[in-house]
Amino acid sequence: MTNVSLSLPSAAGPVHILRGVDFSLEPGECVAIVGPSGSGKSSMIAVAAGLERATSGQVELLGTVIDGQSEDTLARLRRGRVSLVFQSFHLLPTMTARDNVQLPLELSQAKDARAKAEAALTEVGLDHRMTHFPGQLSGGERQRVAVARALAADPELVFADEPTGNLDAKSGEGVADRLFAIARDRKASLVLVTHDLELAKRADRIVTMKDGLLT
Amino acid sequence: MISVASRIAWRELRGGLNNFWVYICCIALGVAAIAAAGSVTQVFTRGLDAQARTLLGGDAMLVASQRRMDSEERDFADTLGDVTEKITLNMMGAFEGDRRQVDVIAIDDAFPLIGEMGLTDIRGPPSTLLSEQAGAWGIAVSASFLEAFDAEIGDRVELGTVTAEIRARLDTLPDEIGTVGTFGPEALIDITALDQAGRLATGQLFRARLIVAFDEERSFDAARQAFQSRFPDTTLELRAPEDSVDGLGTLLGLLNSFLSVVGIAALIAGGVGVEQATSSFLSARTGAIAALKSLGAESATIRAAYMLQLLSLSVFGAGIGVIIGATTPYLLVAIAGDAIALPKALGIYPMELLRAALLGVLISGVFAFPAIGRARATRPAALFRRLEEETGTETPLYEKVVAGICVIAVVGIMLLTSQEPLLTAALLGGAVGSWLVFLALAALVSWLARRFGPRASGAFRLTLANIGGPGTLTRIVLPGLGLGLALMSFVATVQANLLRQISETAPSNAPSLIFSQVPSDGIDAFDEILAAQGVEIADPDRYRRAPFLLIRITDLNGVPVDDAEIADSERWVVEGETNVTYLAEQPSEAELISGEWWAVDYRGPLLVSLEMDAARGLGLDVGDEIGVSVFGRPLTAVVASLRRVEWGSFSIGSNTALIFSPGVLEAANPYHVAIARTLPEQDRSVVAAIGADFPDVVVFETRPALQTAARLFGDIALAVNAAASVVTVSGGLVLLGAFMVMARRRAEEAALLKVFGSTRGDILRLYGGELALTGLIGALAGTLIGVAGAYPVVIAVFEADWTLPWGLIGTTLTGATLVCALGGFLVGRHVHKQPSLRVLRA
Repeated sequence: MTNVSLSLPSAAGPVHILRGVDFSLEPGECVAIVGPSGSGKSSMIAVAAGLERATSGQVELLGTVIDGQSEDTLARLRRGRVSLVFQSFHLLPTMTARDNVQLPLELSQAKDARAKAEAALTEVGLDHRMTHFPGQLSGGERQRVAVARALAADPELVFADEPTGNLDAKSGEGVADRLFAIARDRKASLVLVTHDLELAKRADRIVTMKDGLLT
Repeated sequence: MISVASRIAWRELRGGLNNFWVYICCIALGVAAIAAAGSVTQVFTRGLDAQARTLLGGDAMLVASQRRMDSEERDFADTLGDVTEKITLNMMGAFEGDRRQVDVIAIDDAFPLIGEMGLTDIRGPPSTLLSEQAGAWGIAVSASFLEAFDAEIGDRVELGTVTAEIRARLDTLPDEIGTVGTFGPEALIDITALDQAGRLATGQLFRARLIVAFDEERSFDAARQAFQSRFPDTTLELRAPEDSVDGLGTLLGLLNSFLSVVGIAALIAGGVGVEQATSSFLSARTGAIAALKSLGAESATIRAAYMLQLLSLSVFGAGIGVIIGATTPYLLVAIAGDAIALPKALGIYPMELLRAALLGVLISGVFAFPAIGRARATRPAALFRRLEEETGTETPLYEKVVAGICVIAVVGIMLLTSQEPLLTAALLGGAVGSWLVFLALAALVSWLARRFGPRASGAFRLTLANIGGPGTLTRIVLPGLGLGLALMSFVATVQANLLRQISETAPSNAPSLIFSQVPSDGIDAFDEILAAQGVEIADPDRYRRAPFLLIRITDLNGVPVDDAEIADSERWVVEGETNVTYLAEQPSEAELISGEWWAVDYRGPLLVSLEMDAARGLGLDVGDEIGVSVFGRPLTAVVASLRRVEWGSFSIGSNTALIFSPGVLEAANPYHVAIARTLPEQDRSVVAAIGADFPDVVVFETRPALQTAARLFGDIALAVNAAASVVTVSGGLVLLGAFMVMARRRAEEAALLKVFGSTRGDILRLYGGELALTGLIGALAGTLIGVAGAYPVVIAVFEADWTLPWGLIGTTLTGATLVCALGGFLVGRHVHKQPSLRVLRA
């Protein structure tokens, strides 16, 4: 990200969320972004993943400059290569845990999608919960499903937005352990947004964001 | 509690009605349909009631067929008050070589007793309008007569053997609705003219009426009692003013029943939308409900608060419907007033409007109460965890009972206020049954989607998961869309089959010319004329002729028909008089079920061959006896055989319910009726040739009549279809509501799919496919139910040939699927446009 700014309109005038962010990430590197609420951490990864368009500056994702690209082009770029883990899990309530993991694999036309989904769920310790719907799982289990979904396709880049924010300490630690372990095993780059400094310390590098600027 | 509840309700309602337009529209539409049906029916029923005496022409009417009233009957009528005689019949009119059938109205000097005739271009003094002058009787004719014959006032024409001079144009008659001659040429003539020409002899085809205007305060019932005690065995029919227009009251009753049930079906289809809107509204309020409960609010308070809100919305919707329903008759008269010739009593009919509003509010209760019950019964903890999406909450008993009471009240109001309770019950049962079938189908489809979803992959797996999972739209789309399409398919299938019957089957089976009033002493000469004109009289597929006479069945095995047990479906055989024939030879198409046909030269006691269904309905079998009255003469016939009749076949005589043995009835010298299949270019020359030697023979040309019938039927079908489309519109509203719900529910899913790398096209295909599949299933089921419901109506009620309307089915399925797919695309487009991050962080 080179001199990236993001402003969003509001009734009281434009809100400047990012104010000239410069950031880069090496393959296999794990970076934690910390900072107070409202500082722009989540917006930064949204822009980096191509989910939000920067107001100005240049964003390059996996070697492709994404400024001005259509939404569909960005979607194809992410497919199978970029994953996200959210604070609120965002599992599809109509699908079982296995189906939730299997769906993005199938969308990227991955081979052996079912086997990979089952392997990923086993890896996060949910081999006994595969046919359960999200409503039948605890918060920690739901987030482990979300982690499995994010990593099952062996992505090159994983964005995790407060992945333990909605979990108790023990569940959060379990999820974080699995997230880091799997990312390292698969040599995926990881961008982790968190308030938890202990969690951030497990990353290769920590950057701090304040008022839309990386310090 | 109520004041707290009402404060909560008021505060929530102040938030606006943005999310409730589907709810309000669904109720407004159904109420409008019912209110409009009731109001329109009242407008015409009251209009007819107000003019009943004028339309009858007096206070009572005696009616006879094929004979005039005898002196004793006339004397009786004279004792009641002023009397006029009116006779209607068909005759052949001829002018400058052109011969056409004319509807003739023969009157005496006293006609009309009430009102005035509308005459224009009167030539000569009115007193001599219909008198004989210079060898010609005066006639007044309809505009259609002048047009058909290209004649003018003052021209001389022939009516049968009567020479007549056109002395006026006849526009209206006080006892006829609308303009005279709308359905063909009509002529008004003096009875004496026809009497002197021998055209009113007993046995000829005509209908005679004596119309009486009571000369003192006399009630119709008293006159009826006096008539029945004086003429206990009469074949005359006595009519009151309320029976002035044949079957119109019944027709209006049927129309009201049909339209009311259309309204109910619209409310049921719309009820799905009401339920959906209520559930969506309450699920958005689960947090508030949980908070209220945690603060100490009782379930009853919450229930009352939301019941008050939804009741207010229902009353608001019903109010809109009532306004639309009340103004519909005015709009109808303003737009199509001239086309509807019925007398009208335009006005606001409060009871009809109240009934419609009450039905609307009650039906909204049926659908809204269970949703309210589920919401208020949900435990606060469960609400906080949003577990209701996965587990659901059982509807509490209280709300079940209240909803059940609403159902009973709806059915009770419908049946108690219907003029045709049985028909209403059947139609209502059909609508409710169809709705239940759709609900069951929705559950089945969801189950199948869950069952087979795991075997699918990718986007299709998600489609099946959405169809089978919690919050599935099948429970909305299938009943909402299917119910409307079922009614549309039902109406369209019935009319398509009947239209085909009129425009294709009937012209190929029916004769092209029908000759009546053929004298029995001239039948050989008659046949020769036809043969000379190229009619193949020896070919039974081209020409048939049989004697016909009107008889009345008086008793069955010695039991008077009034006391005998007779099936309703066959009561027509014994009600009034019925046409019968006698034949020596067994017709080739008459299939005997039991008994034997008489010998060709049989001359013994009277025998009869009965049509199978009529025999069953009358409780008769071979060997039983039937008492009949032939022109007042009592006779007894023994049933010799039972036979099957193919009513639509090209035959005459063999397709009557009763065929007698020859001999006894020949003495009555009845007139013959003949039918012929001719080429269109033959018709005019045949009509002209017959007219030369048999001026009293009336020739009916079926080709133009069938064309007119097809056109008229098409117009009626269009109007009925337009009325039925109310349900489809209601279904469409529900569908729109479903699209909106889907757009809300799928926003998060679409945002995630975008994160996973799904393109706009993927998302459009996903939601287009989901709704197209659901719509296709709903349309398929709706069409099947509609077509299946139409089958017995076409076969049993109309006794017409059945053909599956493939075009209609294809169009319905394609249309419904495309509309649903389009809705899915629009949903996909809407959710795709929303920024993923904002949706996912919301």
